[in-house]
Amino acid sequence: MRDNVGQPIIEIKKLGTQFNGEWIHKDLDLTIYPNRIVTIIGASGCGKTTLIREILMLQPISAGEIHLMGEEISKYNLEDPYTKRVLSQMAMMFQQGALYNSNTVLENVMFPILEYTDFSYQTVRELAYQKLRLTGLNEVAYNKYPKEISPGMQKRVALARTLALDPKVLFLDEPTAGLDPNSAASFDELMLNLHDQLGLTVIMITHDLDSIWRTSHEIVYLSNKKVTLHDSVLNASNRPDIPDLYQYFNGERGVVSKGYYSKQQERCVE
Amino acid sequence: MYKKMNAKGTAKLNLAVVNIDQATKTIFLSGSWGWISINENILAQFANLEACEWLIDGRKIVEIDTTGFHFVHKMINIMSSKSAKVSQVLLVEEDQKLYDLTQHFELCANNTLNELPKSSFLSRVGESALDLWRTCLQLTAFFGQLCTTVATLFKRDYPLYVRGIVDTISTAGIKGVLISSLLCFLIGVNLTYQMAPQFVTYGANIYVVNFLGISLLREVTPLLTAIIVAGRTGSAIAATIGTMKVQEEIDALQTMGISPMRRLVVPQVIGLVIALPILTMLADVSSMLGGMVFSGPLLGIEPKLFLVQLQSSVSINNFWVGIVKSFFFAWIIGMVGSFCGFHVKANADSIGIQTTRSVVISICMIIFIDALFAILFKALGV
Repeated sequence: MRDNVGQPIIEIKKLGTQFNGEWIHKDLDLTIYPNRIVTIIGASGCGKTTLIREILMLQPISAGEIHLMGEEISKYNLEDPYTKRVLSQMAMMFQQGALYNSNTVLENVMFPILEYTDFSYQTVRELAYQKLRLTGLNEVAYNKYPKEISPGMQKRVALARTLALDPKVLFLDEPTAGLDPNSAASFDELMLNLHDQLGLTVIMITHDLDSIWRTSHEIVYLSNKKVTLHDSVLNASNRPDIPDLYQYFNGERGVVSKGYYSKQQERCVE
Repeated sequence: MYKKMNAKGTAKLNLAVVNIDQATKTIFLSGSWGWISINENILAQFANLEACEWLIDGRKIVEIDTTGFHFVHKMINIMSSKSAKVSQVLLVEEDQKLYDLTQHFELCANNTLNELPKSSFLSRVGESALDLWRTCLQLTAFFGQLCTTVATLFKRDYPLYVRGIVDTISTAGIKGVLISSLLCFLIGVNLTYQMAPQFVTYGANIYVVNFLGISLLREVTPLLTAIIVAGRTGSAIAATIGTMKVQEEIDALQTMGISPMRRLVVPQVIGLVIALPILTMLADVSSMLGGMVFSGPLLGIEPKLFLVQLQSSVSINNFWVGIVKSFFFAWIIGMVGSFCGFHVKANADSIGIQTTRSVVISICMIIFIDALFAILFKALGV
C-alpha cells in the first residue's frame, strides 16, 4: 500500500467565520482522514454549506487555518496557477447540479479537462466519455442538453463532471435531494462504488437518513458554532445527551431507518 | 498534461514514462500517471511496434488515476489494432481494481456520438426565416387575445386589477421621468448646437425654433421616450413574467382560476398607456427647454423671442401627433414585453434571450409604426 493513511487529508484549526459582526463558526476544529465518507449534519443555518465553501476557497475565512494534505490553503492567492492546481484536487457537486445549460452533457464533462490540460480535443472527448461511463449513465443521453434529461441523470452528469480531474476529495451538497427513492438508492450505491474503487474521500451534506446510514462512516455534527460531535453513525445516533441530534436519529422518521440499518451494522461488527 | 506548466514546472513533475524493452518484449511503465503529468505524445511510439506478444509491467507506477488508465487502455487498443498482442498487464494490487473498473470505457471510432449534427448555411437561413414568420403569427395571436381581454374589462363581472396599474405607472412612469427628461433635454441641446451654424449661414436664425418645434415634438421626443421605456420597462416586464413562468407561478395563477392575461398583462399595458404619454409630454417640455437655453448664446435668440416664435409658427398639431403616437408605442411595449415573457422556456439562458428579444422587437415595431403614422398624417394633412 502506498497511501499514507496516517496523515489527515483535511485539517481545520480554530476556524472562525464572521458575517455582519455575527460569528457563524468560532474555534471550529475538524480533522478528516483519507478514504472516509463523512457526513456533515446540523440544523438549517448552522453553517454546513459555509464550511464546505470555505474549504473550497469559495468564501474567505475570518480566523483560523485550513490545511489540505498538509498545505495551508487558506492563505493562497486564488489567481496563482499553483493554487488552481491544488484546488483541482477537490471537487464539489452542487445541490442543483450547476450544469452548464448551453452545453451538452459531454461538453459539460469536457469543460474542466479542456481548461486544465493540453490534451487534444478528441482525447478530451474520450476522457469525458470514460467519466460518464464510470457513473453508469446511459449513452443515449451524452449528446443531449441537461434540461432534456431526468434529475437522476443530471446528478450523474454532475458527478461525472466533478470526477473529471480525478479529485482526491469530493464534496456533495444534498446529492439525493429531489430524487425518487430508486434513483436515490442507486446514487448511494454508485457513490459507495466510486469511493471504494477510486479511493475518494467524500464529504457530504445531506438530510436523507437512509443515505446517511447506508453510506457514511462518520458523522460531523455542527452546533454552537463548532463541531460538537465527530463519531460513527451508530454512536452518533445513541447520544441522548445531545437532544437535537438524538431527535434527528430517533424521531418518528429516523427511528425506522435506524432500526433497519443499525442491526445490519451491529451484525457487521460482530 | 497540466496546461499552465512552463518548462521549469515540468521538471518538478514526476512525468509518466514508457520504456520499451525490445529484448524481453516488455513495456515498462513508470512515473506518475495522473492527468497532470501525462504527455499525450507517449502513445506515438506504439504505432509501429513489432507484431508479437508483449508484457506490460506497471508495477513501478507511483500513482495512477482514471485519466492514466484511459491512456493505458488506449495503448493496448493501439497495439491490438497493429496486431501486436498484450499477454498480461502487471499492476500493483490497488491499481488492479481501477484497471478493471475503467476497462471497455473507450470511445470507439464507430460510436454514434462522433456524428455531430451539422447544418448548412441555407438551412439555417430558412430556419430563421421560418422562425420570424412563426413569431409574427404568434404575436398577432397574442395581440388578438390581449384585445379580447381588454374588451371584457367593460363587462361588470371582470374587475380591473387597479393596484397593478398604479404599480406600473409608478415604476415605468414616475421613476423614469428623470432619465427620459434628461436625455431629451440633451437631444434638444444637441440639435440646436449642430444646426446653429447652418442657420447662421443663411441668416435664418429665427427658423431654428420652427425646426426644433417640428422635429422634436413630432418625431424625436416620442420616439426617444418610447425607446427608453422599451429598454427600461419592456425588458423588465419580459424578465418578470419570464421568471414567473420558470418558477411555475403562472401555472399557479391559472389553477386558482385567475387569468394571467388579465392579472399580469392588462395592468402593465394600461399602466404604460397612461404613463408613456405623460412621460412624452414632460420630455417635450424639457427638450424644448434644452433648445431654448442654447439658442440664446449660439444664435442670439432670447428665451422670450423663442417662446413667441414657438407659439406663432409651430402648430399645436405637432405636439398632438407625438402624443397620439405615444399611446400606440405604449401598447406595443407592454404587449411585446409580456409576449416575450410568456415565451420563456424552463432554462436559464431563455430569460436573457427573451429579454433581449423583447427590446429588439419593441424598437423595430415602434419605428415601423412611426413610419406608418408619418404616411397617415401626411395623407390627413395634419
